[in-house]
Amino acid sequence: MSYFVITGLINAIGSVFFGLYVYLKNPKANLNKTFGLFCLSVAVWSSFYCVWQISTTEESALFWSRALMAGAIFIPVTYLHFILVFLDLHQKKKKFLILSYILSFIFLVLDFTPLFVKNVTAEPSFEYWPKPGIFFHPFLLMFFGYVIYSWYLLFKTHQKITGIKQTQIEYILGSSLIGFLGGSTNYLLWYGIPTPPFWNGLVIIYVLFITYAITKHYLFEIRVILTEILVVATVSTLLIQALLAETLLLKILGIALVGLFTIFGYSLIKSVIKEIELRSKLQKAYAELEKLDKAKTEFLSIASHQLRTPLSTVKGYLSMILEKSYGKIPERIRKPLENVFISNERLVKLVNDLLDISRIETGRMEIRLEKAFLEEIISSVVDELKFEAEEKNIYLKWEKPKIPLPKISIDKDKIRAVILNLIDNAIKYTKRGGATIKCKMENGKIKVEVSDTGVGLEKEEIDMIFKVLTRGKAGIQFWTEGAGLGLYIARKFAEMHQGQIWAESEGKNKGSTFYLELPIK
Amino acid sequence: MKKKILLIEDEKVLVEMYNEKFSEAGYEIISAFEAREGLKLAKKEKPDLIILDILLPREDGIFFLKEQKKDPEIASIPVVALSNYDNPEAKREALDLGVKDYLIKTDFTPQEIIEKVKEYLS
Repeated sequence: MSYFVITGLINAIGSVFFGLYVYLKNPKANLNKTFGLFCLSVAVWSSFYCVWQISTTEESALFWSRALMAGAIFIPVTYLHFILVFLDLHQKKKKFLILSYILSFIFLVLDFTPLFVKNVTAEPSFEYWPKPGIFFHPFLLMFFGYVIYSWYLLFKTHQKITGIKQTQIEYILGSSLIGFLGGSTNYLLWYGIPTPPFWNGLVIIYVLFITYAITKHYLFEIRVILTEILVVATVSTLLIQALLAETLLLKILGIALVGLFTIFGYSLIKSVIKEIELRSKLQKAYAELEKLDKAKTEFLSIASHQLRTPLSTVKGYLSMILEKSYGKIPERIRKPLENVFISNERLVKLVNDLLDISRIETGRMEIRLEKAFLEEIISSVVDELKFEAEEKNIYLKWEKPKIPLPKISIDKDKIRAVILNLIDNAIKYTKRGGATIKCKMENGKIKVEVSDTGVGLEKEEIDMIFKVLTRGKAGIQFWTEGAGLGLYIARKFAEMHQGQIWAESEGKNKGSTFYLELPIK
Repeated sequence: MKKKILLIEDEKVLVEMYNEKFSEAGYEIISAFEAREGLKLAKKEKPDLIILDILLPREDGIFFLKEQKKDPEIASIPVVALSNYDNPEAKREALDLGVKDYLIKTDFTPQEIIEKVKEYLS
C-alpha cells in the first residue's frame, strides 16, 4: 500500500470517527451538526481518494477521481458553515450561506462531466492523475476564497474577545492553516507542478484539533497535548526496544519497563488534566464572582433609588411646610419639624455614603478632573455651614491666604465633600470656642487646615478614625448620628487625587486639627 | 405669560408635590408618567423645559432623550434630569445626550429645584 493510500485512509477513518463523535455528543446542536457535515465532506473525499489510487484502469480512475471531488467540492462550504455557526454569525450571513450551497451543488452537477475533470494522465508517483476542466478553475477560486474568508472571520473575532473562546479560535485557526495547506498540496499536480501531495496526511490534524476545541476545551491545552506526545513517543520507543531485544530476559525486562512507564505516563497526563480542570473551575468561579459583584452594585443602585424616593417626599413636603407653603406654622411645631427634617437629611446622607463606599470598594468610583480654585470651594462650604456654627454659638473663622493660590486639577464635587465633612465635624465636635480654616501652599502642595477647640482625639483614635465604621470616643460621647463613614470616604477621595488626609491632636479636650493636602497639578 | 414645564415622573406622590410647588411659584406644569407619553405631550404642548426622571416604567429616561433628539419639533427643548437613580453610566449617557444637569432628588428641596429651573430658563 502506498504512502498516499495510507494518508487517505487515515483521513477517511479519522474524519468519520471524529465527525460521528462530535455529532453524537449533541445531535441537536447546530455546531455539532455542521462539524459533522464538514467531516462527512472530508470523509467522502478521502475514502474515494483511496479507491481512486488503487484503480487499475483509466476509466475507473477517472470515475473515482470525479467521485472524490464530490467530497472536495463541499469541504469549503461546510467549513465556512461550521465557522459561521461557531462565531454565531450564521443568521446574519444566512443568504450568503444558501448561495454558497447552491454554487457548490452546481459544481457537483458539473463534476461528472469533462467540464470539471477532463481526464486522467500519468504524473510523478501516480499512474492516473486527474486534469482540470474549464469549471475546475472557478471551483478552486471558491475553495480558497471561502477558506480564507473563514480565517478572516476567525481572526476578526479573535481581536475582539477574550477567554476560552479566544483560545479555541487560536487553535482552530492554527490547525486549519496546517490542515488546509497540507490538503492543498493535492492541487499542484492538477496543474502539472511536479510535486506529489506529501503533506496530505496533515488534513487529519485539524479535524482532530477542532474536535478537541469544541468538545473538551479545557483539554485543548498545549500542555496536555505535549505531555501526551511525550508519553506516547517514550512508550513507543521503549516498546520497539523491547521487541527488538536479543534475549528473552531483556524482552521481558523491556516490556516490564513499558508497563511501568505507561502507568507513570498515564498518571502524569491525568495530573496535568486535573490541574487544568482545577484552573478552569477557578476561572469559572472568578467569572461567577464578577457577575455577583456586578449584581451587587446594580442592587445597591436600585435599592438606594428605592430608599431615596420616600426620603425625597419627606424632604420635599417638610421643606414646603417649613417654607410656609401651607400657611403659618405654630412656633411649638416648628422645632420638632426642623428636627424631623434634620433626621431625614441624615438618612439621605447615609444612603449617599453607602453608595459611595460600595463604589469605592468595587473600584467603580470615577473622578472628573477640572481646574478649580480651592479657596472658592472652601468659601462656599463656609457659607453653607456658618448658620450651624451660629446656632451653636461658636465661631467659624476662614483665614484666606494672603497670596491667591493657583488653580488645581480636582473633582470639584468630591473635594467639596471632603472639606464639608472636615468643617462639619469641627462644628459638631466643638461645644465652646470654634473652628478655624486655613489654606496655604507648602512644598509644591496645597494644604487645607481645619482646627477646632473641641473634644480632641486620643492617640489610638487618630489611627482609627479614617477607617470604615469607626467614630472615635468623642463621636460616641457627643455626636451619635454619624455612622463613621464620612472620614473614610474623605480619605478615599483624597487618595484618588494623589493627596492625603490626616489628623493631629494634643489629646482629650485639647481640640484637634485635620489636614487635607493636594498636589498642584 | 406663564412658563410651561413638562414633568416626566412615575411616582405619583412626587408629581403631586412638585406640581403644587411649581404652581405656587407661578409655572404651568403638565405631567406624564411614562417616556412615550412624555414624548407625545412634549410634541403637543411644546413646553419651555422638561424635567425628566430616569428610571421609568417600560422605556426609561435615556430612551426619551434619544427619541427627543430624533424629533426636530422638540429636540431643542432643554431637559433637566431629576432622578434618584445615581448611576454613573446613566448619568454620563444623559449628559452626553444633552441634559442641562443631572440632579439627585434627595439632594434638593422643591424650592432649590425651582431656583435651578429659573437658572435654566433665563
